[in-house]
Amino acid sequence: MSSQAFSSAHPNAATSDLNITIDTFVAKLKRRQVQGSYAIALETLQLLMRFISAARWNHVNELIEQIRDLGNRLEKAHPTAFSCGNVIRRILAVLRDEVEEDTMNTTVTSTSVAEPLISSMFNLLQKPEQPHQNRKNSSSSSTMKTKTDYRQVAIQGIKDLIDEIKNIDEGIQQIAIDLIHDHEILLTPTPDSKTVLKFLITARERSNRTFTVLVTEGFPNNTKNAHEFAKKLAQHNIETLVVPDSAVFALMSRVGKVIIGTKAVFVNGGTISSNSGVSSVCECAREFRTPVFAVAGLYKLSPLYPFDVEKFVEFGGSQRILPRMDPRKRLDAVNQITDYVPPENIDIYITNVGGFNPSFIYRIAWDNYKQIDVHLDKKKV
Amino acid sequence: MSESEAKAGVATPPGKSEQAAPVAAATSGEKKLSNKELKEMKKQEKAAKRAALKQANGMSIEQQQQQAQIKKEKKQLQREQQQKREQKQKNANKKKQSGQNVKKSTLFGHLETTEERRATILAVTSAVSSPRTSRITAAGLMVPVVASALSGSNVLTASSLMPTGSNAASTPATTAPTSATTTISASSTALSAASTSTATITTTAVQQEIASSNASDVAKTLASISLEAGEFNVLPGISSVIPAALEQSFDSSSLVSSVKELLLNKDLIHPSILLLTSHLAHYKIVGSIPRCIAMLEVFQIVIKDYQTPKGTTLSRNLTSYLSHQIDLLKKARPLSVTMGNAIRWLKQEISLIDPSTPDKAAKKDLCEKIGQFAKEKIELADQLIIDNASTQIEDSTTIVTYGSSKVLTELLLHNSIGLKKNIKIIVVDSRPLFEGRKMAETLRNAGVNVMYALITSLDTVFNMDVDYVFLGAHSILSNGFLYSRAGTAMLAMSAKRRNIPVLVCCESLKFSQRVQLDSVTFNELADPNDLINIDYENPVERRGNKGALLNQFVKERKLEKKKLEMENKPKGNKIGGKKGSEEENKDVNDEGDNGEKNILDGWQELPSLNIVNILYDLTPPEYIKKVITEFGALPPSSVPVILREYKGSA
Repeated sequence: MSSQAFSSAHPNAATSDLNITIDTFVAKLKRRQVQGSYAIALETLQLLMRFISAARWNHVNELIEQIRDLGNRLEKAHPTAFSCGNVIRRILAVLRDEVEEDTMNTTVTSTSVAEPLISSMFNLLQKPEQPHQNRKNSSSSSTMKTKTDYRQVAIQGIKDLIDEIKNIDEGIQQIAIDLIHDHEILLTPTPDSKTVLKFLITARERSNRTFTVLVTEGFPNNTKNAHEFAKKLAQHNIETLVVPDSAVFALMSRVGKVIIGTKAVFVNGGTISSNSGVSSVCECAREFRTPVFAVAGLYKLSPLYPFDVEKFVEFGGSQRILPRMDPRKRLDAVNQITDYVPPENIDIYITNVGGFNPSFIYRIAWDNYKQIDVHLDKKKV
Repeated sequence: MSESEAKAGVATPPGKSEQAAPVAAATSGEKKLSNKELKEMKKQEKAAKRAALKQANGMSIEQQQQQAQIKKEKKQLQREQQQKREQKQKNANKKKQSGQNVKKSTLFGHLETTEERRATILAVTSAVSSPRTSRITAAGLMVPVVASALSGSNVLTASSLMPTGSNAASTPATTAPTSATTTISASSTALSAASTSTATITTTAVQQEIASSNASDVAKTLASISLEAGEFNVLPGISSVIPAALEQSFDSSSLVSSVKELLLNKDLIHPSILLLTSHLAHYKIVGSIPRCIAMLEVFQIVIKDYQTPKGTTLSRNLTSYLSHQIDLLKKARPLSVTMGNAIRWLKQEISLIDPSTPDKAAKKDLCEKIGQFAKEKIELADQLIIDNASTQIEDSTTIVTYGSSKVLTELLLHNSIGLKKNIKIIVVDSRPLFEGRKMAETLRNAGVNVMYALITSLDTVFNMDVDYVFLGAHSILSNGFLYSRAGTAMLAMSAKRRNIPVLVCCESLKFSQRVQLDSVTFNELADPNDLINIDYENPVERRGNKGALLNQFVKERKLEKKKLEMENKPKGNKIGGKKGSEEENKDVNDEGDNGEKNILDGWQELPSLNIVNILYDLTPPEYIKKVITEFGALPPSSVPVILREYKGSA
């Protein structure tokens, strides 16, 4: 999607200012200057809020298309920043729900029949028809005057979502605390996850449980985070052990539970974690029958399906694992930054709306997203 | 160094003259005199000499007295200050100790920590060569003194770091029995002549001494001087380094008793063993096979230098003599299984020696046998393993290995270069030792197609059409478990889950009688501080010259020097004082720069923070397809069978 086509839709002066903002955000994403799905999600929402307030449209479908275009641009800029696309899809779903409600109120037609069917498993295979039907409905209703203020709806949706994201840890903590017992040994291979950190600290301080946390180092990309994480835990009086990544198998027999943070959760129940080595740790845990639980805010649920895992896993430069070498005798080096954990190695997901089995994640995903918005780069047929 | 300081060194430190005294007494046979009387006598003698010398230099008696008065006052001051400092340090240590006690991690409390091992080595080495403790600390715990002296290099003259006074004070003790009186007079004249030249003169005396007697005698003389009372004598410059390091970690009674035992036998320890101990403790020699070879080589030297005491025979006494050496070796790192097996074999060989054979012949025979053992059990075994394993490797296969293994490197080189097979090798590696890098570089330099990955990228590695996983071993236990570098088990497990065969190349020397169920019960703890730095540097390289003890020593030396400077210019020289403070500021800044800001830098202070750095883990036999040994390829369950056979044949 070119920015030219984009700006041509908004010829006004105010939009050119907005375009600059969008361009800088895209550049920031491309340069990986925004780190962490939490920050990315919030920034995307802020941007979206400005975008929607400045947007002009004749019909709500135009607005939806514009949002889709924006989402597509952002996703292209950083294909593995899943939370960015997720929040945009969430807002799209809010809008589409509103549209549907409207059409239902005005013309009580086949849509009311279709609504419960979308959420049924039997319709999964018939999906391609569904959007078609929807669009027909919406186009049929397009002639009618829109009564609801979609701008208001979208902005309210964004505000709600920001609220939700900011309060996610609370919800997760309440559920997760019941999963650990006193004097348990926990292992976490994702020391960069703030959710895990907050959860552990509240479990110690509010519920007054004593437990030991093993923190793997995640060398080379996350060691700094791991050390900071360990230090913070220790400062909160939690027994903490820093262990090298290689010692995980040796210690797994002593570990009661493995806690992982996530970057994105896919509909199949698999997850991308922001630290390499997590999948090996989960494999070890599986081998030792140690339960693995993943903590994830709802905004991390992604409607994508990881058919091609390698498309989602990121790789970094070799400069962090090898010293500078003689150019004639270079070594090929692998530096994986993120890691894909298959659903069979995760026992349970703790989200802010409850705990779910990995096989049930798809259901939660379709509660929040519309099938039609899964691929933002696909144009209308 | 000022003259006064040099003299202070001779006259004051009570420990030294006390030690020198009994030795002298023993040689002269004047045992009726008490130590104190002897000391007094010596002092008077020296004072008289000094006076005479000064008079000869043209100083009046009054001047001398005045000088003496000034010096006395200074000494008093110094002593007071030192006492104060010591008190402070003790308090600080106590605080640290309270932290240290908690520092044993919950899971590995039963294992010996590197700290403890280091403390033991420090205690022993400082005992063995206490007159030159400063140099030991300056080298960061190492004891190159004895060995370098033996090799004839004049490292001893390079003692500019040390206060000359302490050097001079120690020499009479060192050169004790035979030439005690002569050296004392020599050093005293030297002192008066020129304080700077004392070092060289006394060291030449030592060298003469060394040249005249053989190696083990030197070791004994060096050892006999200190620690009579179990106390460490402390030189002015190094007041806190050793005691602080020791006090911190000597809190468990078992440790203290083991150290005491080592100290009792310290005079038996061969200098080359000390060198090997320091090499092992600093990971300069790693890998069970290289460690074993190094040990056997050193044993050859030890046996060559061994002399049977009167009243016993070689076959009886050598074993116990060697056990003392081994006791110290154990303190560097726990013995590897290969070392254990080699030692067992060697002891058996010694016991088989006919008591009637002359020592020389027996020693020669033993050395030859050791050489043969190394050749048979390691070199030839490796050859057989390589031949056997090569049949496994077809053209254009991808092989994953972990860490660094001597046999595997040779095997892969042989197949890639020698047999010209087109193989691709992925070396997986991990923190903190990064041994795999060595292997990857060796292979790469030879032109092999190598890829390097860390253990965190295992997922990607196994997505690359891997055909085999080849692993090295530290040991294979009797129940079929593979005891190897930490991380091996994870690799083997991942491979097994993806149906990739895991092969282990392992000499039968590495087979152990031990059984073990998981990696926590028995393991080796490495230094947790190796994990504090976040970079890809190997801790051995990183440590380099900037050992903590060295830093502390240098710092203390600076303080000491400054103090001396200040005292030497009693009232005034504000400029000097200012300079000093400036320097101090600089030092502080330097420290800030040197102490690379690691997040975990003072982790010891956080009572609930621990760092675990285990070296090994256990791979269950079900992950291993086969073990390739010099006896052929077998399943891991056959290890006890081979052990029985092997024992029968040996």
